[in-house]
Amino acid sequence: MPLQPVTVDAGDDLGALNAIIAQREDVLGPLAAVGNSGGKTILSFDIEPPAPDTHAVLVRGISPDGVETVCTGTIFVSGVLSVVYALRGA
Amino acid sequence: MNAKTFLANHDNYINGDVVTPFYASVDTGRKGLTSEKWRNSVIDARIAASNIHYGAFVRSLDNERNTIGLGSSLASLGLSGAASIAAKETANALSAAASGVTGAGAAFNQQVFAAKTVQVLVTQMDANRGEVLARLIKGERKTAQYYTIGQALSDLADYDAAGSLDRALSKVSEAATVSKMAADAGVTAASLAPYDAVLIDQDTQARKVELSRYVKNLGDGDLEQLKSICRALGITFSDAVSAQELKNLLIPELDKRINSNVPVTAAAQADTVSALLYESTKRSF
Repeated sequence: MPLQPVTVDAGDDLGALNAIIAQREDVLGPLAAVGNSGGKTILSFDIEPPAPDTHAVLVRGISPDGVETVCTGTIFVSGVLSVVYALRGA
Repeated sequence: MNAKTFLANHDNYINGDVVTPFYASVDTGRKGLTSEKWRNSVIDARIAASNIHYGAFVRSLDNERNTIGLGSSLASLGLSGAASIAAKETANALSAAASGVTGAGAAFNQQVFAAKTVQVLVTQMDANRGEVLARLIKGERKTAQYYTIGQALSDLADYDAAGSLDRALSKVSEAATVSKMAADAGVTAASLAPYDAVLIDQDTQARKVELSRYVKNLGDGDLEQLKSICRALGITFSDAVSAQELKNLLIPELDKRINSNVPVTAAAQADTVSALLYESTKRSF
């Protein structure tokens, strides 16, 4: 599973992050991991599979039942480190 | 002015209550300074103080690397694979490793290795601090409402932490992990290095998706075409490369090459890539 990490500005809000994820999943492949380093958010995509049918969506708080949790991690949301879940099919 | 005098002269900005004055309703509560000027004075003083301490820390590392203590511990860390050591565990690992060196003959090589390792770590710490410093300087240009003293203090704490061995080791380990992933996948490390991703306009995104799908749909029978596309984009590869490995190189490269939040620029980037690939694909994207 070769992962391609991309960095995203720490000031981006959830809406902007989810829009970037949607665009990258269509080009690179499914989101696989989220995290932070060096003051930036890091999103890693699995570049071998085709683009997923539905995009992963980042949410704060707890992971709801009945929805596939792709991954979880601590990232910058609007400049603040926050724990998020990436859900697919929400 | 020497370091001690500087720290003494700016003690109110470095150790005093800097939050209450920031929120004072009149400038007299801030020694006649506006909120922005007060905040920036705090930032400048604390950056200078941090630089003084950091400079001393780096000098001490430089001295210690010539002793068996730090030198051996770093060498052991590196030789046992720093990539597997999480930042939180680094302090313990350093301490544990310090007692693990055996044999006088091995010591010399370890010293040489340690000297290089310290150099790498200091370079990484400098880079980490540079990133945070850029954020602080950017913040200084903002109004008090959009970059509060709380945000400044948080960034200043990060500036201090960025000069720690823990964080440098963690970052170096991260890079090592990325390199290992790349090696595992049979692709070059450079292709899996992180890059900044921005949101691009929908029209260009549609072209980029079409390009990506085209490449992803190529199979083992299209190896020569994939090689031709890679050459057109200046991507190097080994003779024994597989179609999947070439696609793993190409897909991020396409994403990087068409990556601007300015629609005109993104469209121009897509035009360039499309033109470069025309000879190999016989179609425009």
